[in-house]
Amino acid sequence: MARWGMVIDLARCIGCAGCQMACKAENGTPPGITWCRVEVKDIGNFPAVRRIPLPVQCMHCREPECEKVCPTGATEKTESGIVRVDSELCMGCRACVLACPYGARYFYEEKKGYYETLSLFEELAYKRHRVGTVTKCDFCQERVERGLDQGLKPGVDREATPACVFNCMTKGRFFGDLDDPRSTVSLLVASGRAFQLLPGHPSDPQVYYLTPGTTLSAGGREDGK
Amino acid sequence: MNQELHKKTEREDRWIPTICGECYNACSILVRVVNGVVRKIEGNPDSPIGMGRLCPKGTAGIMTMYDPNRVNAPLKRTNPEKGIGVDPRWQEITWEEALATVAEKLKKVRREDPKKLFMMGTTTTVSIQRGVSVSFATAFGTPNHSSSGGGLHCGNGAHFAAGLFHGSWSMVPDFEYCQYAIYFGSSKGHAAGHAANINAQMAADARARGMKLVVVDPLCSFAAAKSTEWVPIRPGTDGAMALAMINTLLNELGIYDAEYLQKHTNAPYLIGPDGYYVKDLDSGKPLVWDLGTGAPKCFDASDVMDYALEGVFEVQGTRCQPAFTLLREHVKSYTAEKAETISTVPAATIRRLAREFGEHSRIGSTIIMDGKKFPFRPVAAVVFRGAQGHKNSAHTCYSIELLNQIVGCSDVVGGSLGFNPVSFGHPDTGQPAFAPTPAPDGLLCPGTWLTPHRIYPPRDPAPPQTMGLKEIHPLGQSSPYVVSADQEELWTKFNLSYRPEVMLNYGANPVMTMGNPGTVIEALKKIPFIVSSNLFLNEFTDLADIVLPDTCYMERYDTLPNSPPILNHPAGMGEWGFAIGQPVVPRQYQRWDYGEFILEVADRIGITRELNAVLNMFYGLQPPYELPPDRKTTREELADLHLKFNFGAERGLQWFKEHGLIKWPKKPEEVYWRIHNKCRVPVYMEFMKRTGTKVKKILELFDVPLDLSHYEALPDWHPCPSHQVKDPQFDLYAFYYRDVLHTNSATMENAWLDEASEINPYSYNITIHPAVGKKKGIQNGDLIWVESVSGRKVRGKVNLSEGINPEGLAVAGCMGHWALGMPKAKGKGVLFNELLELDMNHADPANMNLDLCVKVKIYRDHQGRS
Amino acid sequence: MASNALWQRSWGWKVVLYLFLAGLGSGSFAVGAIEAFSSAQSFVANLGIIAGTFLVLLGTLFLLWDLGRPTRSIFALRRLRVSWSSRGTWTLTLFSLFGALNSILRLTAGNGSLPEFQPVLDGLGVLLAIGVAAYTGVMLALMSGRPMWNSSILPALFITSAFSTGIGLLVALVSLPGNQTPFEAMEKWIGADIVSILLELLLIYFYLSVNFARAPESVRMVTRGSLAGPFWLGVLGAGLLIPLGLEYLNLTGGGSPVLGFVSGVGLLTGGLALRYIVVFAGGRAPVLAGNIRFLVRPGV
Repeated sequence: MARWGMVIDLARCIGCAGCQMACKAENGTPPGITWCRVEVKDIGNFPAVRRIPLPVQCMHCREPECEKVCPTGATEKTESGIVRVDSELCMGCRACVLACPYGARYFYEEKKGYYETLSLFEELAYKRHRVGTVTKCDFCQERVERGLDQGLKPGVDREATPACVFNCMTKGRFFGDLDDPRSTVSLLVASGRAFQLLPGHPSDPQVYYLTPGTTLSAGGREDGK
Repeated sequence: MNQELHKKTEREDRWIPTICGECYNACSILVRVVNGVVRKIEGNPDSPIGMGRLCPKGTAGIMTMYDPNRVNAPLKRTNPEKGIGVDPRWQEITWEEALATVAEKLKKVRREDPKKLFMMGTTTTVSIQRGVSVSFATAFGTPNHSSSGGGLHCGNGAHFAAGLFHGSWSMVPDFEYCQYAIYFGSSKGHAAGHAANINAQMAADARARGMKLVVVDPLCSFAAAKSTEWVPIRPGTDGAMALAMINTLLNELGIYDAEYLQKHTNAPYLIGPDGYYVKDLDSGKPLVWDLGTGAPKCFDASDVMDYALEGVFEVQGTRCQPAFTLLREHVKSYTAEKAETISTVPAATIRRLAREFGEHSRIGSTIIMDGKKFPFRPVAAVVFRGAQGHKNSAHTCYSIELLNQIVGCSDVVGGSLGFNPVSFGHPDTGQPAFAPTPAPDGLLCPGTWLTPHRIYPPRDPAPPQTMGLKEIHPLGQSSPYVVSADQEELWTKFNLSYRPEVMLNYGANPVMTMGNPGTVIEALKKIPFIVSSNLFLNEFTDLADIVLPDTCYMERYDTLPNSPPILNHPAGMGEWGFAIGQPVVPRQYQRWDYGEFILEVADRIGITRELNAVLNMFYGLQPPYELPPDRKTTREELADLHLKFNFGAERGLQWFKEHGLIKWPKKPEEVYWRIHNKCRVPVYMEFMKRTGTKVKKILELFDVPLDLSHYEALPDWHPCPSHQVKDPQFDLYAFYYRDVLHTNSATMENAWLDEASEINPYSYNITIHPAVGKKKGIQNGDLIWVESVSGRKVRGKVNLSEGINPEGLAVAGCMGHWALGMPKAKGKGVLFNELLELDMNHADPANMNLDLCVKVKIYRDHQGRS
Repeated sequence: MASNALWQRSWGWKVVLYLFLAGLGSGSFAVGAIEAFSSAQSFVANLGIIAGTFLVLLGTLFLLWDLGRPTRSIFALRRLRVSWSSRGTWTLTLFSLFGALNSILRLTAGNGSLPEFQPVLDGLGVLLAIGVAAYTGVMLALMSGRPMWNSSILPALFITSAFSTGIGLLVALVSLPGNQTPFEAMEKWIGADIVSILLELLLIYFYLSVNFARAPESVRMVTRGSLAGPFWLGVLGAGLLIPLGLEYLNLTGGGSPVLGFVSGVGLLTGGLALRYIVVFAGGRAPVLAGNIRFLVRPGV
């Protein structure tokens, strides 16, 4: 059994939010629910400063805080490492939304579209979501499993890879089996450039980031100036 | 309409190849259609235009397609009063009534004076604007066809320079091989812009490979975020910095590619004391000095042994010098120290960057591609909207482009590449084929272009009879005068013999995109009859008399939108790819493609014959693939003939509907064409001087004062109006940038993009430096007013950021909609253009580019925090 | 509901009311049950237990109302072994069952006719009441991404406040005109409340000072920002200092039922304000916190 993981290369990411949109489209998430989102931060002080775009989503932690607080067992970690929510069990208490240190969980409060009435697309897309339950990124589980059934390799074959990964305009996202030492994600995690959000936190995210490696150059200021 | 599409099978679930229309790049997409409804859009992995990846706008296209606020039927105004906040009281009418009304108005103006028709088109969908719209204008007989802000703001300088130096609409570093790129106000590969999607992929690869990227920009933009070095320059001073770098290269370091300058530029052309070329008395060709024979020769003489770049020579009894010498002497006054006082960039930094640029260019090195030897100059200086959006637009672009020419990195391996100005065509048909050709003076004339006039040689100035006064701005393309504050004054002075009476607009929103809306609205209100084809009722349609329900790109045909490939086709090696757009779902309501509307209207006013002839010319159609002269054509037929002409009889529309696109590998001689081409590019803009003199004569006739100092052959830095403000209250340079999430003003209504914009602090806010905030008691999230010297003001929420030059104030462009017909866009972001003056004093005298930088003061809104 | 905002908007006024009512009810129950050990059917004992049970049940209604899928609340019993929320659900369920039984017995029994096992029922009720008062605090205290909650002081603060508001409720009710029970009967509880108020002040001081470093924005919001009003006027003023003064007066002989009533109402106000503040100050730490060293290399 694989242990799915993701690597997001911040040296490649330009913060375009293409992943956020690919996720909205693939998963048909209702308004306000962005399983994957892109935050933008500034690091440093003028002129030695850089803008850091940061895609954030469910980290599919090995020790998920959300799973620990869930009273119903709706949140569970599958054998392949995907943290998923069973929308038939969730009672919508939102303890997990608050417990997640990454802000990756969303409560689907009411069946409402982006406009006064649901558009044709929204009618079609929102079917899989259950009002009154909590939702979040599931590593495109359905897509990955359908791909596996067809003998495809997640992270390599488009049809078996999460939408945010194969769509990324800067080729900055990688998906694969962290238990396979030769997978791209494993190699990247071992590259020395990888880190996890909230270092020292016991949750142990399975979504890793690669450092942008930016030098905070003095922004056009010479030594001694 | 395709009959197949009407047959809705119960479990239809398929992917259809077509093109994206969220911006001008027309990336290849696959659309998943489930039971007649678009369920998902993905990039088409089979196409070099996107390679299966897609930008946020492209994926979010579904929300544009199914926005319930779209216009679904032709509408007629019933309230004769026009203005901001005045309800036009729309009434639904039939297409028949709309067509009959429009045809009647058009017939009348065509009878009286065809110039009374003013046409405008959005740059968001360039292919349709160029195709049918421009062709209709020509067939109708009006020279008044204009793009809205898309051209006026971003293109007059940059496209002109790219055309002149690269034969292309725009340029990029050769991402695959470049080692050192310096961007001046450009975001190529990091946000929106030409071939944005594919450039983002290639730029990311370049970064991973270790390409150094220096970004000169007052804002730590998304490009600067990825740079090796961010140089926070003062807005509008990029030209001064570039000239100082040239001075350092030429006069301090002595780094320049002499062989390139001799063979591929006019650097060896002899210039007389009057500043003009010294020409051969028989042929009229410019002369060069051959050091080998010690005699003057025609520039294209095959026996020149050694072109002189320096020295003083005597020819035809006058003392003359090679252009290069003049340039070298001229830039001596641009010391790094002088540039520092202008640009705030330290002299030492300018010198270091010049040295790095020069050293990385590896002058003299070569590389073997496909078994052939090419020059290898892995550096590029790239200029785009930020640097060129000023009153000194033309000279700034010229100055920055000279960096490329001096080190000889133009269109060679690793250098600065125009987007595909050379194509040998498909192996089967040899089409589409084009390459720059030399004008009589040897200078580059693009082989293909987006507007009918191919930039060079420049048009001869003449007394203006166009609304945009293009006759006295031969180097410009988009004009502010079609809506400017001083248009009536100027038109009167120039004795313009008519006033616009009918306006046909395709999707453009000039109220939002050209300058301050008040001025634009006043100008447009004077046009008695306005027809507009739109997806939404917006600020512009509030002034229209008839609004037509436009189709979304997934509801219509579009033939080869990536052709000519000088705008939105990726540069560099790889594959050629030419795609079509096709409807993927049945068209709903009474929506009509603007192209169909134009064809129908042309037929009704009896100019089908003329229109078909122009379309044949425009698309280059030749027998047996010409449009018939005697009957109205359709978008399908036009596409079919266009495709068959280019790719063979078996590859018509049906073939393309199935395959989506055709592709084949590029050849290195196409991509790195410079050394195989006889064209030269101007390091000395003799034609500027020549044109300026002619313009001056015309202006004197009409007593119009225009600053002609910009019509000089050698580059200079000219201060902008914002640099001349002395009042210390106005202490910030306000400028705008393109948000990565949006195209012009068109995508602002998209619900998903809006959602992402709310998360990104750089989408909807006004960015200032925290030190400025501290000084003025302004905190993050405060509501402030931004007020220009002339009292124009906008309000918005503050985003304090260390990533901006403390002299600057930055806003993402084209936001702040107020129209009720775009509820998602309404009230979001800040309309920067509100601050912009639209008149002769704020336009580049040479190319008409509007000055987009404004000196402002800021203060807290009394309502405090939002 | 956006969870990407640093300030939480997932839990609102219904949860605040639940936290307040569950604390108040369990505190009131505990006071009543402890009173019952010495005087099985005294007014204070009956009132505390019955009102306490009722208030917890009322609070539970708000909690159920707040759920996205209230009919699935039974599933919340499934994860007793790991989830404090599930443990709380068990505690709350058992408290409600035994509390209801206790209340029914007390309402139906004549004088001296309570069953023999009544002390056991009361004692069990006290333990469960402590559980009800504490589990929400434990749950919040374990939320590692929200430094303002992620503090072991919180359960102690919740228990102390529950106890104090429980006393406050009973003092206020006993102070009502027409009540047979002499106000003096509450003296020992007022004394106990002075101790819990002092303890609560200490806990709040530690809570804020410890969090000042860990969650500066939250603390600033409480002391100077949008929650400053409820904090200074509600929690500290009405909820702690004024009752402290009035209760001191009551004990030193200067008191009256009117002052007792005022202090009781003040304690309740403070309890409500405390829950409000805790819920809305529960901001999430930025995800990049601590990652700076991974993001950039020092400048040239």
